[in-house]
Amino acid sequence: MKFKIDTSEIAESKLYEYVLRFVFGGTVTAMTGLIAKRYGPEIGGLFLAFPAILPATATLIEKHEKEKKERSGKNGTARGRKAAGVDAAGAAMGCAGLAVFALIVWQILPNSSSGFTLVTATVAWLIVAVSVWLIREKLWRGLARRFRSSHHRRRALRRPVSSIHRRIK
Amino acid sequence: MNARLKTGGIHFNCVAQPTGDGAVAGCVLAARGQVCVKDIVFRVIVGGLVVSAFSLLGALLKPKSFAGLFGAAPSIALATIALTAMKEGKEYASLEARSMILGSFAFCVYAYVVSRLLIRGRFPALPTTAFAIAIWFICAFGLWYVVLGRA
Repeated sequence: MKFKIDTSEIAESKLYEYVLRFVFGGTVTAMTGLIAKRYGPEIGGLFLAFPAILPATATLIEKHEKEKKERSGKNGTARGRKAAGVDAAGAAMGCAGLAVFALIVWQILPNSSSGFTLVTATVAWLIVAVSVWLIREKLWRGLARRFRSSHHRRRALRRPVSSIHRRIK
Repeated sequence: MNARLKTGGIHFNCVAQPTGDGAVAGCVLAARGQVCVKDIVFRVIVGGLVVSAFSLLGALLKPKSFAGLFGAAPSIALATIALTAMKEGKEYASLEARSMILGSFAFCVYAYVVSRLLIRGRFPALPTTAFAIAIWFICAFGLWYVVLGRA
């Protein structure tokens, strides 16, 4: 499966949704700084991987998908929740990239400039996250194809036997 | 000009102070464990912008599972680490990044549980994602205790 850019989602978004993301992200970032100041970098660092966007994004995806389905006269509750769930599954895959980002910063920041470290770590995050997604997609599709073909083979093998039974009856 | 306006432990005016290890303390009071409002406002603005940018990028992309990768973008880290390294020193920021590895494992567990609950379609997104934050806290602090807390 290929990924693509779709601008329709942005057209559907309202101003308050952008404000909500900004406020949520800003608050969590400021809280992270305050926690680090109060409890030290070891506790504060945990919050650098706090799920800041996910709750807001999942809620908005659910709302948009539900509205889309309801425009065609159907109940979109299940579809909205499923779409939000698929987004969260993507975030779970992206965590591998997040861990690599942190590992690179931990290892190279003391001996390099902050700019170089952050650019290197961000590129590594993107490469790892996209690779995990592509591997998972290929594996998933490969397994699904194999399951389908074995299922068809079993049905094909079963067919003559059942037809013989029918003829005997 | 430091700390002209005071409200308990919160201070409004900050001044850059060079420290011994090459870092620059943005607020002379920060070293005493007190909070500088300018620093907080700066973090809110930068954090808000970075988180919104990644969120927007995620909204632009299809399919949804691919867009979800941006839900686990290092947005808070990008907004925080450069500032922390500048003010507290690179060693301090590096220690934060070490703990961030544990936080990202906790995030993975949280996102996986949320995805399973939502795909089954029994619960709405907002309460599911909000209550499941407890899973992140348990995993993050549990891992911290096991890996770093005993050291």
